[in-house]
Amino acid sequence: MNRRGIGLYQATKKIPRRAVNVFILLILFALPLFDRNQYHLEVLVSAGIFAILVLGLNVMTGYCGLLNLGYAAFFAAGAYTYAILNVRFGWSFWVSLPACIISAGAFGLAFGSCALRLKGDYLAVVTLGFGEITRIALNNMDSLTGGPNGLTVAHPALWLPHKRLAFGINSLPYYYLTLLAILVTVIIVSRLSSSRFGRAWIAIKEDEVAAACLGIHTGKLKLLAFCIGSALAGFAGWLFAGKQGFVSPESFDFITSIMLTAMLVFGGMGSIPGAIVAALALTIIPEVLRPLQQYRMFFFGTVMIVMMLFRPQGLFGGVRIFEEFRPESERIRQEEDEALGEDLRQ
Amino acid sequence: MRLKVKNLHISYGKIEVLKGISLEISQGKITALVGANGAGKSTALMAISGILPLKEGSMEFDGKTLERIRPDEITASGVVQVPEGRRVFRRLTVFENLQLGAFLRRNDHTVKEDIERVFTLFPILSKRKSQEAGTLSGGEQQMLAIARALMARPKILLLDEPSLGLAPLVVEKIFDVLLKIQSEGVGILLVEQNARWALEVASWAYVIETGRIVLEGPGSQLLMNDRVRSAYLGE
Repeated sequence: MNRRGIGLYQATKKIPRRAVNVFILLILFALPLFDRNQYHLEVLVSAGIFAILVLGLNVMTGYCGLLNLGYAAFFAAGAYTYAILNVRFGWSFWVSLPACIISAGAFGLAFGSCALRLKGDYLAVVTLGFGEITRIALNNMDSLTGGPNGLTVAHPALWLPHKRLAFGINSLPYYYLTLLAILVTVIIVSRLSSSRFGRAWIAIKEDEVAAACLGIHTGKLKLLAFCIGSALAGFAGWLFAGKQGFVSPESFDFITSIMLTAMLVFGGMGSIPGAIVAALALTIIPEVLRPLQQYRMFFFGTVMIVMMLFRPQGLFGGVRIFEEFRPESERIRQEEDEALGEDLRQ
Repeated sequence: MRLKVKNLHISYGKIEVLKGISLEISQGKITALVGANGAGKSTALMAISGILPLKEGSMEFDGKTLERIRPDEITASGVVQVPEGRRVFRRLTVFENLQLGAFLRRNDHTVKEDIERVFTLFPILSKRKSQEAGTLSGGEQQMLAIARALMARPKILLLDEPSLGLAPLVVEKIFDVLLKIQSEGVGILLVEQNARWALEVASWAYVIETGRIVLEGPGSQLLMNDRVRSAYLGE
């Protein structure tokens, strides 16, 4: 019986996951000790913010199968919530956090409760339109959002016992803040994925009718996934606004949403390490390719195409679906059925 | 306890698929619904499960009317469907599939007990429990689909073509289990194209043709019926 794919999957399962995770985390925490290059840290912080976004998008698209091409709108909701609270009402960075998460989540809830009547490609088109509407609205609501000029917001600061430690434009504190934020996000997302809700989301993605037959309220659960995904985007937006010290509509354009979707596909739908590695890779690759100047995006595109040709399931999406794509698997299944018949005869 | 379905009408757009069918399914008995391809068997099950909206008609279970209620509420009331073509969640493990069957119950203790119980009904699933459902054979997937529905503790189980595409021996095994489930007090509505098997086990059976019930009676009696014999049993 050919079950090599499964064997491989179970073999990778045997490596103590926790040990690997702690090891990676230690390296990441120690990294700035070896590399104090501001530019490097800056790129890593951007990649980290993308990683949080991809993890959030993974909840709605990777788990629940809700294709969202306007995800940047929820990112914007978080960023602008902090910006407006800070500029208009003088709220500090830390105090604004719950408001950013709640407002983006509420935004997702309101939009989702209308848009989730649609499925698949139709939903994707509506989310795309919604993303653009949000950006254009931000561009035109000058009195609230500063329009195309954006808003300049305060960088975060920490009050230590003796002095005030302003983050300013030094990348180092943001590096640690982002690392912490990713850690929190990973814990939330992985807890969710192994909960009954996580299982139900995957069930809905695979077969909505079968899920409904088991008593899963598919509408409610899809809305929940949408809402949680949006709230995580709000979290990332809060971090982004604080780190940039500036928000403007152009950071939340269609290309950002597409990039996030590309990262999700590149890493493998439904995979947490995949989301993080893809966010890192697809942020770092264009930076590394900078010397190629105008050919940069060409090479970037090539990487994506090659990837989709040779590993369509994404970097980490692999082992679990591998078996299904094997041409011989149907034959094996038939053989097994015969074997099952033999078993029963005895 | 009885599930009574009265005068069910269902349309896909302008085409009326069910033209008023009435069924009665009792707990602890097997009721069969037989008919050709496209007669409306699966549509009837989807309507009873609440997945298709009723255009006309009513349903009553255990004396309570089920009208315009959602699929999850119907499942919660104890009427659970095993849809056609097995439809297991391929990328989830056998165990996870079973856990999903108990989605509406939060008591981990009884869920664990029930998983043990379905493992005794289908020992093969216990061997496969950490395997992805997509890697199971067709017969195993059908067993998983039934086991998954049993996790919801159904009072009435709606089965759509459980024999579809399976080897005769596997079908026999599945039917054995169905008889066992029935003897434990669960009512079964068995929708089958394979009329002989269905009629042999059914205490009451309905024959459906182009959206209407054309014949009903005890399964053994319908097996003798000339019309049934020529149309569905190939004699």
